[in-house]
Amino acid sequence: MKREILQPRPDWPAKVAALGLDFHTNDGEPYWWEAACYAFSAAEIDVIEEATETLHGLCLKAVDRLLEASDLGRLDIPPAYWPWIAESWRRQDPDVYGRFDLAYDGVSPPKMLEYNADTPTALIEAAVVQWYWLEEVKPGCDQFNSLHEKLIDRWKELRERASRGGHQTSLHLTGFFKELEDRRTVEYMQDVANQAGWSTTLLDIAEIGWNGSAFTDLTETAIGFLFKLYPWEWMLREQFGAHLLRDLVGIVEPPWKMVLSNKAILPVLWEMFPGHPNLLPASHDRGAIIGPCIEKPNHGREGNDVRLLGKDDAGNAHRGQVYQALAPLPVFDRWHALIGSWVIGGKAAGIGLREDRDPITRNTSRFVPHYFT
Amino acid sequence: MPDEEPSRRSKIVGLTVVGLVATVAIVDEGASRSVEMRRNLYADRAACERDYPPSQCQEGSDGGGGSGSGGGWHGPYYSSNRSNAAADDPGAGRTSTSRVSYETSYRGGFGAFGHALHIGG
Repeated sequence: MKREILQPRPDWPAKVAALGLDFHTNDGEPYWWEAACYAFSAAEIDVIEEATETLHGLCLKAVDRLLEASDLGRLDIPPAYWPWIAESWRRQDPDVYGRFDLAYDGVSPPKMLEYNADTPTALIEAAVVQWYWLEEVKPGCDQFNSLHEKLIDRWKELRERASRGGHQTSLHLTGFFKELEDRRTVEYMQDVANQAGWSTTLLDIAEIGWNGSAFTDLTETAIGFLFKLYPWEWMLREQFGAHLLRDLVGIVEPPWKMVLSNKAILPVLWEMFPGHPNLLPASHDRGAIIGPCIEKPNHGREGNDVRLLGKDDAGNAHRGQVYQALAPLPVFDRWHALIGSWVIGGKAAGIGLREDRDPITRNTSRFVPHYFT
Repeated sequence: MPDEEPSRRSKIVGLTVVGLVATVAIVDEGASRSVEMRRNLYADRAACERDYPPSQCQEGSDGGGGSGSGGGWHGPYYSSNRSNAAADDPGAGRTSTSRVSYETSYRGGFGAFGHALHIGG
C-alpha cells in the first residue's frame, strides 16, 4: 500500500460534477482529491476483501445474539421497538449495503473501526467517480470496485423477491435533501434501482405523509417499499416513529441494521470474539481499555464528538459512550488514510479511501481514488 | 495456461438519472413539524368542480383513514391551517359547502432531527 503523487486532470471539477459529484469542493477545499492516489497489490486487496466479509459475518452473529437475548438496552434503542426489530431479523428483511471503516497499513490485519450499516455515504465517489478516474488515468490497472454492478444486482434480487411475494415493485426513495451529499446519494440509489427494474419516486423525508393507515407520498399514494438515507435512531424518535411499528412498509436498510450502525456493537463484538485479528478491544468502560483509545458516542456520525484519549485521559462521564483501543491510521505524506470497505448483499464490493491531516476522519476528510496491480 | 485473474471492478458504470432530482422540491424551513393536510370528498364530479378546477378533481378515495367518508370524488390536499399554507396551496375550495366530508393526512412527521442538526452522511 502506497500513496502516489499525480497531476490532476485539468478539467476534473467538471468531469466529477457531471457524474453527480457536484459537492467536490467544500469551503474552497477540494473534497475529491486526485493529485494523489493509493496503490495496492492484489494480495493486499485480497486481505481487505477477506476481512470485510469476515467482519460482516461476525456482525450478523452479534445481531442474532442481541436479538435472541432481547438485549438492546445497551444500544439506547427504545424498548417499544425491540420486538419490531427482532421481527425484522426473524423475517430476514433484506439489506442492501454498508461500509466498514478499516485501519489497514498493508502489513497488519485490517482493524474494524466501525460499521456504517444504516446510512453510509461516500458512495458516488467510490462506485462511480473513481471508476471513471481509473478508466482515464490508470486504464491498464484494476480497482477493487464492483459497487455499481453489485448494487444493480442486489436491487434486482429485491425486486424479484417482491414480485414473488406478490408485492408491488415501486420504490420510494427518501433522505434529508437539504444535505447535497445525501440528496446525490439518494439520486444515485434511484439510478441503480431504476436499472434493476424498479419504478421509483423521490421525496424528501419531511414530505412523507401519514393518513392514519399508511405512509404516503405527495400524491397520497401509499408507500410500499422505501429506501431511506436517514438514520433509524432519528426516525424512531420523531413524530411518525411510532407508526413504523405497524410494519406497513418494507424499508431499506431494514430495522435490524440499526443494531449494527450503533457504536455499542463494538463492545459486543469484542465480548463475543475476544482477540479476533480484525477487531479492537472495546468497552463502555474507559478503565477496561488500556492505553490510548478513541471515545465515540453510540450514535455518532462522521467523526462528530469523537475524541482521541491519551493513556491517562479519563472518559466522558455521560453514558452512551464507547471506548475503543487506538489503531492509528497509516500516515502517508503526513496524511492519515482510512479505508471504507463496502458490503453489498453480504459480499465485499469495493473500497474508497479518505485522508485527513487529523488522525480522526470526518465528513470533511477528502476522498482519494485507488488502484491495484 | 493459468486462468486469468478476474477483474474486481465494474465492467460498465452507466448512469441514467443523475441530475433529474433538480426537480425535487426542497422542503420549507418549517416543514419539520407535522402539518395537517385535508382533502374534501364529494358525492360527484360536479360537486367537486364547484370547488376546484376540473384538473384537481379525481375519482375514488382508497387512502383510508381520515376523518370522513362517503365521497366518490375528491379534491386536492390543502393545509388545514391557512396561516401556514404555502403560496400554491389549493385551499379548502371555492364554496366549501358542496363537500360531503374530508380526509386528513399529516406531513412533516419525519425530518426533525435532520432539520435541527442539518448534518448528513
